[in-house]
Amino acid sequence: MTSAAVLEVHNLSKHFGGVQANANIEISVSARETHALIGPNGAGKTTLVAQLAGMLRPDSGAIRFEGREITRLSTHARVRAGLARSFQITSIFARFSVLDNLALAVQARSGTSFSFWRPVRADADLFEDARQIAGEVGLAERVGELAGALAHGEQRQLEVGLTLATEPRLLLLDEPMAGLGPEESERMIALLQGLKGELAMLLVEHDMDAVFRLADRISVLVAGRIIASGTPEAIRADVGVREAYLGDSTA
Amino acid sequence: MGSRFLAPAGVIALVLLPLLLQAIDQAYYIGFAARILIYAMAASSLNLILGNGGMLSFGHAAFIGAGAYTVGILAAEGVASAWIAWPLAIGVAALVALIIGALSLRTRGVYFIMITLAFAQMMYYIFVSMKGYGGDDGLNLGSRSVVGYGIDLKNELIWYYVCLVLLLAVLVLLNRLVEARFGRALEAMRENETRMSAIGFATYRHKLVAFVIAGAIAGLAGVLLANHSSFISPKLMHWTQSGMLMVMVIVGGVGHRYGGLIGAVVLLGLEELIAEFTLYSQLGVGIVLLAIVLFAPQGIAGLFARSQTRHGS
Repeated sequence: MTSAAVLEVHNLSKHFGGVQANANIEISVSARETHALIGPNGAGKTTLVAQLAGMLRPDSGAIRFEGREITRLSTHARVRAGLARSFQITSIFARFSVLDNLALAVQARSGTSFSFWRPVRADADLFEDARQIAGEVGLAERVGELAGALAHGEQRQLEVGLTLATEPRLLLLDEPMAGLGPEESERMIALLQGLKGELAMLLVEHDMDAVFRLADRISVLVAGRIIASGTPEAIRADVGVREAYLGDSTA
Repeated sequence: MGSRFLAPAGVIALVLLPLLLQAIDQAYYIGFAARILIYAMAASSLNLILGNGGMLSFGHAAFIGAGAYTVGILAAEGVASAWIAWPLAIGVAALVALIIGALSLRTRGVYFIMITLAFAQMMYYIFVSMKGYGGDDGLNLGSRSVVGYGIDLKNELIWYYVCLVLLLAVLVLLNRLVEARFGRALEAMRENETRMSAIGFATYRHKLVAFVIAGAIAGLAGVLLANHSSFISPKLMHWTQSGMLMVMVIVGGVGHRYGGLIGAVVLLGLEELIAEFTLYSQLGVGIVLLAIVLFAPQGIAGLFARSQTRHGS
């Protein structure tokens, strides 16, 4: 475990009825590291992300963010502390414009939202920042569109943009490539490569090509347990991982 | 015609209305018009949480009752000054909204509807059992609140303008609020609350503040209603009152800035109009409402908004 860990998870467990979704999870993300979490469907990846984001209470264990215990902190307080998540199933404001979507996320971190008189439209800084983020995620040309009218790939870009707009130091990405075609995937990988090194990322992903291109470190979650953790080379060579998940043919 | 001209035209019409009624010797309707303004205020406050906030509160009459009974009880105890009673009544209504909201907003969907309804009905039965203040029979205030400065609220024309000024103030406040950071965030929470908390909004607290603001405004409407008829009864808090406010909002336009006003005008106007012709006014009102909901699912305000976009931006 490195000393500069942004995120440290100790002994985290969560069960739903008789199903052990997460069992004694130990995982960490170092500063500016891209740590990928892979595993078959139902392994408990999204459950883990939900607990890290404060949307699910763990049964036991501890989550530390930048040295501070956050296990019981609310979702919004974690976001304000610098830990933000994206969703596997796109979660945007479909009836708001792309710019308004991003401006909302900027609003959350800049100044109070208990302002009752001054029109949002007069808040130039808000939209300035929103425009810049739209550019970063490749939506500069689409800021005026309704978010719901975007193509699926663009919505995935907005999904990441909303998370980025909170200015996180740790990004939890829950399957950012979900449902993307080859071309869209390339765009998303390029976007994430641009972020790599700027901030820490915990990347949950099924697309192995993306994982091996982006990750500094990979952990493998199977049936709620981390069965291996190491460099991409080490994981590729790991016999147990290949048997449990990758399948011999992919190596 | 843009809505830019619609609002000032509406204000001018509302200012001239009582003078017109006097001129055609129909001064009786000034009081009726004031009643519409009061309900417009109550419905507008509900529209903030129901329309903009997506909170299906079925207990809005509780706050009207809280405002009305504060004024009524103070009057019964000899406090007739509006300067004392009205702010206090608004404060009490806000406090009631804070308590009901704090508990109800922990639930979602049907549970939220049911729990807000339950709280309002609880208030209703509490005041039914308060024999000291009239119980089931209600309470006569004797007179309207005292303002001083030569303003006599018993004068129907003055009373109408007091209601109008307060309604306009409320509408301006609500319209500003909806366009400000607070309102934008509130509407986004209606769209996608999970996402809002995932970008750092304290959604529960934000919605609770909206709920309290709506409750306070409904409390003011209650103050006016109590004064209007110089009479209060637990019926003000009955669930049918909450239901009527919801119908006003739905008919007028959910989330539309003038939805509450339009709804109050249409619903109360219809009731009065149909009662002129038939004893079965409720049936007639029901049929017309059904037609509105069927043919204008966005409410009457939605019809205007749609024709505007059709004429190009």
